[in-house]
Amino acid sequence: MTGSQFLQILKCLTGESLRQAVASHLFPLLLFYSAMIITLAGTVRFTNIPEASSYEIAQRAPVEEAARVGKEELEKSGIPLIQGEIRLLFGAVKIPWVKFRENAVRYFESMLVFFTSDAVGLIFALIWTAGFIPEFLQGFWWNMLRLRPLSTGFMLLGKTFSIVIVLSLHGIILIGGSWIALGISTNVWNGLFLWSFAILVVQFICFYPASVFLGTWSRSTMVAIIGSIAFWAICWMVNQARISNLSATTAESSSGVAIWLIDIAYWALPKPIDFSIILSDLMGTIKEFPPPTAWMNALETGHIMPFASIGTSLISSVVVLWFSCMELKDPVKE
Amino acid sequence: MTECILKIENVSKAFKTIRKSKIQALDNLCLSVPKGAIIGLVGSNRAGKSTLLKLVLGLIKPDSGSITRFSKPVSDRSTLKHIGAVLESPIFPSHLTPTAILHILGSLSGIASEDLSRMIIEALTKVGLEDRQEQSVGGFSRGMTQRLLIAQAILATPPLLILDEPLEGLDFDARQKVRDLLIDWRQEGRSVILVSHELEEIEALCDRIILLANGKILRDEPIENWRGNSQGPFLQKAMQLACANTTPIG
Repeated sequence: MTGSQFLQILKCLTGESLRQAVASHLFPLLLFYSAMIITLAGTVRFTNIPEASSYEIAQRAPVEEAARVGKEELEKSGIPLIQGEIRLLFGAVKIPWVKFRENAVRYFESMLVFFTSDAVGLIFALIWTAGFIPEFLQGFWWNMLRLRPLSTGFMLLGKTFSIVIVLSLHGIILIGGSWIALGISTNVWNGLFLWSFAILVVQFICFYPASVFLGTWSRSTMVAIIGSIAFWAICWMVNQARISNLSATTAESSSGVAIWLIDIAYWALPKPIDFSIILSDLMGTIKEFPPPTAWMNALETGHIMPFASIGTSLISSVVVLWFSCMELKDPVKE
Repeated sequence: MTECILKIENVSKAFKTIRKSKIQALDNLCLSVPKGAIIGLVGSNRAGKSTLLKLVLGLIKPDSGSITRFSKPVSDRSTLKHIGAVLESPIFPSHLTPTAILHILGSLSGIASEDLSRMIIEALTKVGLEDRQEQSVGGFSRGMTQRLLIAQAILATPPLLILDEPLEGLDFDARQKVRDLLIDWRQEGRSVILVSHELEEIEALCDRIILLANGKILRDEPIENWRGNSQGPFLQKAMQLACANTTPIG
């Protein structure tokens, strides 16, 4: 197969997945969800929160300054503390704020990623795309596809890749749209927020193969939805168990065999908590919205190794995809 | 000597029922298909016609025996690009248009993109769907779906067409189009295996008719031998006679 033929196939399958995505029952809900997130980002307003770059110590001081020099000292010098407000949804929600505008944006962004590229965003993406593979493998249509001179595994991989492209397109709209809306409404353009797009796509590549496998094995959308969410939950628990073990004192820690088993499971499965921590670190939001202490400790003590974590998660997804392809093995080659 | 494009040797296939009893769908069957012929496969329900087609297409695996397509074993998927097939009970993804379906199937068959658009228009025109190429197939009638099914089979003008009940759901005009198409197909030196319960079509189109019963070939002869001296429709009577008198020939 030539490169141009490969691209042609990928283009067709992407077009098919795009139509499938738009035709899915969840698409209107997804549009509404995306519009809501972008609207939320676009309606952020700050009251009495100065920018760090234009901050004049003689006018107002952030809360850290008060902690450093002492509140009384600061009051004696006549410098007022920042006592601002973040307003969301046209003022319907008000959050008191005592730091700079940049900090406020990072704080808001760290909340936003939870709904776009972290847990909620990812689970939403998994539910949305869970039916794509079972539909693709629907009896008659799959027989039509099997009558083509290509291996069934190649077709499944092509379809999976096309779904990743569709998800990425949606990610561009959701995350790019939120970033632009937030930038316009706050005048703070934090480019690091765009890392959340990369993490969303990588996380999806790591978790979606489980849905592909379940869809291939059962040909059922419901099994793919429930199974892929359960898989994410198991991965999350294994990840949390390992972090807990790392930060546990000798008396609290699990038995040697349990630690060993958790370690094996940790390295063999995708690591959702690691992804969250890596994302917070990349975006620089970790100070504004600090994760649980155990997670912070794991990061600070070097137990979360971003490249190893992402690399092994990707390897596990390749293994699951391989099993999915085996599930579809051509009957005449058995 | 006529080139043989499909050879089936001693093929058997059995299925297990829910009650775990065995149904012998095909029993030690031998058959060859030459180039440039329309072969009719007839028989009652459960005679083994559809099973035979699925085996030839590689959709199921035989229990024993061998099948070669274009001198290559059926496990060689590359030969599938020389075959166009119409399968029973078509259900296309409802969100796709005929053009999108043919684009996907054509691309996966290895047709270059520069030729594909032209070939799609040609195939849709031949089956009379040219004015509905951008309509979602979700709203298609049974007949329109069947036309699309035929369009995908002829898209790459393959040397062998395998058609399982291709006329099902088609109106008079569409049937005539398919009939003309198959006659042209033979004239261009291509072959067709046609499974149909519509005996008049088989009589009108086929050069050779194979009667299957209980997974075995009861009679396999040129159309002239089936017709004999009969005037008008003859196949129904000849089939009944064959079922009553003939010993299976394998």
